Amino acid sequence: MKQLRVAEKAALQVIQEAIRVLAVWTNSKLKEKLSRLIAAGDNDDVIKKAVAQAQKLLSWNSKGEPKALRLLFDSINLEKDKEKKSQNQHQHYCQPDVIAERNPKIPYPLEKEPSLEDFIKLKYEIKQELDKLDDDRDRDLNNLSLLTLILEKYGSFISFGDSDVALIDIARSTAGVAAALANNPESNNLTLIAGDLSGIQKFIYTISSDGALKSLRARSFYLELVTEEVVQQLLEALELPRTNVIYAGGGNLYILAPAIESVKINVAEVRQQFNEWLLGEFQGKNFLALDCLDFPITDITTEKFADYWSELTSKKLAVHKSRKFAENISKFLQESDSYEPCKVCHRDDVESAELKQLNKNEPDSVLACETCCRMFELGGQLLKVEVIVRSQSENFEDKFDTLTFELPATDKRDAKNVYYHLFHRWKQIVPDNDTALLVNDWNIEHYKFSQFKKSFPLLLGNYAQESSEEKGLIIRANEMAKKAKGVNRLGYLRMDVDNLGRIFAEGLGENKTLPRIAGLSRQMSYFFKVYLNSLAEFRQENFLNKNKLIADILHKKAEFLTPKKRDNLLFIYAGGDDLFVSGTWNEVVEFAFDIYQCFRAYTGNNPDITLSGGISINDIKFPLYKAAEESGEAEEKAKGNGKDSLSLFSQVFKWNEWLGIEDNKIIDSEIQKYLHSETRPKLLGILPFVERLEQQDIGVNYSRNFVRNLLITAEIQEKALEKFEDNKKSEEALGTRYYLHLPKIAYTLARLPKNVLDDTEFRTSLKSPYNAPYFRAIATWIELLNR
Amino acid sequence: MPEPTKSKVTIPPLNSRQSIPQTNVNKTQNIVEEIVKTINGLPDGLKTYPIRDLVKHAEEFGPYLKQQRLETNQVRKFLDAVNRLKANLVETGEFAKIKTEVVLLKPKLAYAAARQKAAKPLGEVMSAAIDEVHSKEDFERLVQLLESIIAYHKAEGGK
Ligand SMILES: [Zn+2]
Repeated sequence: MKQLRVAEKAALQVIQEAIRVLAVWTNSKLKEKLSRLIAAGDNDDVIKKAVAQAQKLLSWNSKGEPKALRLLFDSINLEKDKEKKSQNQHQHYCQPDVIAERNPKIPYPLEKEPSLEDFIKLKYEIKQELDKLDDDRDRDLNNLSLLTLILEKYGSFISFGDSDVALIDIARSTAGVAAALANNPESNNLTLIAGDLSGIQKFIYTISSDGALKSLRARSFYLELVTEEVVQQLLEALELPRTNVIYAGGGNLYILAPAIESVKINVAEVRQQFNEWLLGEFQGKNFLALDCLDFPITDITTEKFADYWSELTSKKLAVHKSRKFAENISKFLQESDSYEPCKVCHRDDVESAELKQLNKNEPDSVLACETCCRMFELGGQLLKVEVIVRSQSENFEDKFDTLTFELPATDKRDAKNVYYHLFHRWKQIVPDNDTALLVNDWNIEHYKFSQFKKSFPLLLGNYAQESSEEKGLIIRANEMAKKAKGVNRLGYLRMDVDNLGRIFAEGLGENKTLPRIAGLSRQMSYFFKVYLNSLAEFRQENFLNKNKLIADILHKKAEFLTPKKRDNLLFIYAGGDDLFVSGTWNEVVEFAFDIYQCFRAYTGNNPDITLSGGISINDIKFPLYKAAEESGEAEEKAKGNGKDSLSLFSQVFKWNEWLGIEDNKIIDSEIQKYLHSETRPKLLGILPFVERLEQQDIGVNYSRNFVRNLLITAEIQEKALEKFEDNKKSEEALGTRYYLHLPKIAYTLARLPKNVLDDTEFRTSLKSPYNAPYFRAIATWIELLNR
Repeated sequence: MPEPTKSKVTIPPLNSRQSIPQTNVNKTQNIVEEIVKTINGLPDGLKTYPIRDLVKHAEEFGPYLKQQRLETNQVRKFLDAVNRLKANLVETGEFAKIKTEVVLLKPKLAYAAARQKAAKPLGEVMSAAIDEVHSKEDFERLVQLLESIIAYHKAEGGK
């Protein structure tokens, strides 16, 4: 265990120095004490040397002061054209702030550099917090978990060193490098470990049953813990502290390690053991690709770092994926009898007698395997989890559930059982060897709790509406459908960041350094895990329109849709850079627009950082796997529309077309030229028309006729356009798309009640050729709202 | 249907309201000439009538017909005949089979125009258009023109 102490001590020293930076900055009484602690703490040369070398590599200046943090997303640029590149240069700053204990608000960037006053409040809060750490035995000051969390909480929106590198990212990177060096002082190399737990989609999305929503949600939670367990096993085997985890979540993990032979061996052994287990547990539906790559230490601060990152992720891991279970071949080839398959996950290696009723309260419930039954039960209860304890012992008081990993023995590793105990309340007594994972929690007191020897935050995108029929449980699909506006249907949204691979591999240009890559992953995953929860639960506080100033600053018309909250949602999966969310169809649709607008504002409206999404709308009897498939295909269509798009009602448009936001880029330049003589209508796009008509409350019959006529027109138009598939830009094609059907629209409009016709903006805008592509989308939306 | 009482207050004074149709008449008398001139100047049959121009013309012409108090039953025989030919063409796909019938559309219009003054402008426009129908594509454009005109006519409250 000596090595663990060496690596951990090196990391601790770096983190203590970072805390001292805060202490000096805020004039906390801790500053002298920390200086003494750091100086006296280690006479061990190895640690001193490692820390000094790491600090030198990362240009850590202990005498430096925190400053305003430039928005890292501003540095992302995928434009190759130099001239356009310079146009894309934005200037945003982060508001100096603290991450709130629970449901932190989405931090939108500022357009001006924050003033000194902006820092005063933050400095005051930091000082208060640091002064409280001063105890006789320096227990808190030697608590690496606690200090790292403090840095994350208070040091995410201030820079240290480079103006776009947050204090937490430079501190954690430096600590990680120091820890790796302490284990391997003479080397000129480091190792990057990357893992990818693939097959999550397959695993989750093949489920077809009622109650599938709950099972699905539990499965994605379970897989999040599998990822965590891989990280834990690696850190244990490699004797590294948590600071060496650059990123972990959503089936992906990145760890910084020393470049020694034993790391490679350990990585291979952990990989083999997990795959052996996955094979037994999930019939090979999941596979862990895990590998590492040595690189020169000096490259962590050069653009080459991103090259190693992508080489590892896209090449080395891809090789593993292409020959799954090659290392577990004997088990893989084992013949097993096949029986009647589980109705949920379709595994067929379980004896028929072992299948149980999925829902015990429903007499005709389907038969499912034990895991699926467990998942179904767990899924209903996953409404509130405050702490998860990772333990070697099976029994624990007060837990409401336990997930068990029974890792089998392999040639190199012993069999091992690990238990994850789930608790509704955070305050639990945890043995020293166990780890407390605090879910979405930035409450410092919780990390100080004397019963937690090791504690880390575990971020989960896990919002769910509570059932009003079964208190304390998650809302049921049929209950949700009843709450939908108009037609009683559910919506399924899948969405992810466009060009994520390129953003990481090329986006930062010459600045693709370890601290920046770490910062980028951290901020991306904050959004998809933490901020999405906040947005779903506390929309008013988190949607950008609430902050008028921001909306104005961003020069964007932030569409508000219905001003009500929309919390009838159930996150099935959210993390990394993507999400899969269900809910009432109308709220899912509106939530998608919320997410898009918030994300764009969060990333400083960078034209290279966009989202694409797909929504499918189905009744509750529709098999979930098909809904997932449909929304996945819809998302693909959105990607196919030049990205930055949403596919909804089988129609694909840019987000700004759906929202009706003026944006010259959304209209193709040739089409723009064709339509140039026409004045832009006041209402442009889809949502503005839906909104107007909803507000007018025109009555069922009018609305039904209008929708029918609009749909008929859309159909005729689509049919007429079929013959232009090969030549969409010909004069004839453009005339057909933009003009030929306007007479019918004029006729349809004339049939609307007088109060609608008095709305000149509505009337003239709908007759404008600019809006000709949107008839079907407008009609479908209104129809679903009124059915 | 609730009558919006407020808008009554904002209706412009009577004389100015009367003056609007006056200018419209001048403008729309030109529209007949403009359409006919456009059609006569087409390089290669009615199919070369750009859709955008066609719709723009119909947008002015439809309301003009309403002003002239044209009712569609006055040209019913003509409209029915066009519809029959359209269905015919969809069925056979051969323009040759309806070629003669297309030529016979003109007398139907002339007959209607002779009986009803209101049918005269439509007659002028359509016969210019029929003269340019030499192919299936030309005929399709003719139908598009007629349907657009009628749609705008109805949108103005025409029956
Ligand atoms: Zn199963």
